[in-house]
Amino acid sequence: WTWPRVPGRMHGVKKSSAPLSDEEKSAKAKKVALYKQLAGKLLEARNAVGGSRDVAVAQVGAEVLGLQAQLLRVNPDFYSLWNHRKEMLLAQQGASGSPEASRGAELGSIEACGRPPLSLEASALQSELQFTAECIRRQPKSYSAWHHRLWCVRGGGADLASELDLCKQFLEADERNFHCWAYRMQIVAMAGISPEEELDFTTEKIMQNFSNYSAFHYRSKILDVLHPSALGPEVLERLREELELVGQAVFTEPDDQSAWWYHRFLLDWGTRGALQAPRSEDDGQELGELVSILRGEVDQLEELIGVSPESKWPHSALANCLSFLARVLAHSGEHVESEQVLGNWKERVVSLMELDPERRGYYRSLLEKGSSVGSGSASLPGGETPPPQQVEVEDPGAVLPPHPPPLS
Amino acid sequence: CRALWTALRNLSRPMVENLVEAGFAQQGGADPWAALAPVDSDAVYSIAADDPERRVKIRLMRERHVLYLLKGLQGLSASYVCLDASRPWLCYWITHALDLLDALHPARPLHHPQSTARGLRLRIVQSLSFCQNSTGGFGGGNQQLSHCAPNYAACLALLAIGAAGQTSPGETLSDEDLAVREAAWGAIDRVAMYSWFLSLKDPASGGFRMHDDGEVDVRGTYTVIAISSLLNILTPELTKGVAEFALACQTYEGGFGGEPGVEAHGGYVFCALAALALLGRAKEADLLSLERWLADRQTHHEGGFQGRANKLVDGCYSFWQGGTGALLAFLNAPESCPPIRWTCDQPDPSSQSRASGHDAVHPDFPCGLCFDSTRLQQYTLICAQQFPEGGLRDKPGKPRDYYHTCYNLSGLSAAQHPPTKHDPVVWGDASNLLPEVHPAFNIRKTAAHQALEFFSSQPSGHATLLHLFEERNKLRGSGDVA
Repeated sequence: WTWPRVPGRMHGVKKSSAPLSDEEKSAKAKKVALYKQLAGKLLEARNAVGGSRDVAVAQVGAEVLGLQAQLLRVNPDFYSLWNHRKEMLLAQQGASGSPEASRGAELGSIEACGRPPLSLEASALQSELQFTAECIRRQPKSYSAWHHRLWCVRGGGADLASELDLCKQFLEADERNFHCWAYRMQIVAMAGISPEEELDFTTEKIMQNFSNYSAFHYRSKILDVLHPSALGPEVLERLREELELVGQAVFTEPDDQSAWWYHRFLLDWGTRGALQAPRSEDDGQELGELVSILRGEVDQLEELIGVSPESKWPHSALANCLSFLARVLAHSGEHVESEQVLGNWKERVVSLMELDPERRGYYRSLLEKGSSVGSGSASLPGGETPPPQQVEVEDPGAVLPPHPPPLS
Repeated sequence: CRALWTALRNLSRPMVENLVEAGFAQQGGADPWAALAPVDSDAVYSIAADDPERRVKIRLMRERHVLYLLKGLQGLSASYVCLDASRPWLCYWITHALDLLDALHPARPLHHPQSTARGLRLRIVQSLSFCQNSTGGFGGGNQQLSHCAPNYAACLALLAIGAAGQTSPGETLSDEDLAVREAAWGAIDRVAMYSWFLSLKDPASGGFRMHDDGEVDVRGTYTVIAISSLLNILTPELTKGVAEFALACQTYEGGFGGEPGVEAHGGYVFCALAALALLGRAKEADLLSLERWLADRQTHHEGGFQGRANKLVDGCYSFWQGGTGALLAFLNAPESCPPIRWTCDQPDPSSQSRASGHDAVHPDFPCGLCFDSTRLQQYTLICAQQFPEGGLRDKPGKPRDYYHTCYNLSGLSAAQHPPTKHDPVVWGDASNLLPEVHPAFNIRKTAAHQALEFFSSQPSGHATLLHLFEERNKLRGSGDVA
């Protein structure tokens, strides 16, 4: 990740370290001169008309758009030109008012923000979609190119199914491209795609490759949407299924982090409903089921440890699982059992200090901070901040820190 | 050879191979410009030897890096066209790296004889001035739109340049240095910048757009809040909703993504945490969860940092992740650390008494950091330096560049100066010690404090700043086009 890109990373092509021949040098110098000339011309021309949208400007639209495209193909991070491009498209469609005037009026007002997207004419839209796709293909991480495409699509008239298809293609090329994932989320919202359908998409990606970290992450967001908070039979059922899915991944490759991070999410998400609500008369059975799911998970992880003892991940996940189990037991009033489990947790964290020595500092602070909560997930649906830390009433008979830590 | 490998307990195999391949040499003689000599197997063996006297101390090749950086200020190859809209970045990366290497000022030991430091600094100031728009903010180049990222870079470069003459609060600046400071700090049009920042606020999300009509993400949040803090243009009108946006970017993993919903990522985690720290709202994030994620980003074999889970190590993350670790250490135990100033409305730290005299550290946790400082320093010195030409890079096999030079060195500084310790922790040769960077701004801490002290006496407040901008526009005639 770089803020702007740096040379040597362009297009994933390895830069040759051999010195350039005189011919190559002169060819490059020509290209640079041409680039500079073009850039200068375009900037000057635009600043002369100040982004106005009158007829005279609109008439040279096609030529200017063509020149901009030439330059943006070479340097898609030339953000000023993308803005000028939007202005030119607006001018061509005869939209009224100048950006400067509207901004000037609102300067100082907190409500001043970007212009709403324009509904582009069909041919202009197609041409922009084609052009941005080209730019993105050359530079999949260009903020400006993705942003321009989104602006075009938001104006309406685009085929959202083919946008989703584009995302799919780009994710096949680089499944970690967060620009693409963020774009996909926007399209999904616009198209009104159901969370279930997106869930299926992530299942497909995960089945293709268990190491697909981003697909797991996206899946976590969908679960948040499908089952926001309450404890209930659907959540428990879903938790079982998800743990089953993760189980497949981790038994295949215990050292791959992707599924393990998702595992942490699942335990927090699955127990959130139970732990955040006050105890009621009716949830005894459901809590009991949750405990049995967690105990089952403990068994699975111990089995995996037996099979792959050197990998830290099953140990770490087991510690995490034990801490959640302890909390759920405490919440259910089973304080003695909770205490036992917590003792087991402590042993696990201590052994992790040996197994994963670089993170000793973290494990030490975990043991010390035994009394801190941290919800484990600070990102809730709608982007709300985490709930205030709930203080559990301490049973005077129990020898427990008030808040067993949720993380290992 | 086998004996050699088994003896190298402290270094992992990739690191040693790099050393041997790079022909790394022992600590040179008196002449700092001496060429590096080829390594011999005894030298490599002795790196890991138990007897400290026999060990070779790996050195930061200051002189070579300075030469590489100065060259970059003079001209760049054609492949740098991709940074045409990011010229202030190049100024900042180079200026800050030179500053860390003590080469930005004539009184500094490594001032290069072929350049006139004062002239050089003034030329940078002038070049950057071409990037500033009268409507507020710096863009990527002459006539380009103002954009938060180059704006951040330009301001930091100018602040570093203006502060270069003074490294301790009591020091008096020479007339020459005063002139440079006036030029550099005076070049920043903070009044116009405030109005421009306001226009970038996105009320729907609480974030800031990167430029007019641009994308909203947490980089915008950080760059605006950081520069506003330094220039004393931070107001409630500007900060409304901002912390909430940054907090919403935290994921279940503990790190922060670029926008709500996206996976956690090193660059964004720094932006989010630094912004929250500057706003005084870092405690509202799940810091324990962040610590977990961050600790896990340090790679096992190399000792450097990766940007995200399941990705490769990269030297630039030494700052994005390592710097976040330093920030986190401070936030977790501020009373145990020497005071840091974040904003203009705090007192000047030189007036405060130092924190308690002993280091508040635990034996298992020697630096108070959630990552291993030694291993990070080792990665920088052994793997990230380009032998023998100088410059620093992503990883062995990748070419050097100015971005990686800047952030490798920044990360090294962060690792050497754990906030809870009063003395720095230096691996390798003692001369590797870099000055401390301010954990939220990434310029020298002393420079940040000087700037904060200066700008705290400038006119501020929402109404005042807007009024001043209006008055000036009236004088000029309205409708100035960028």
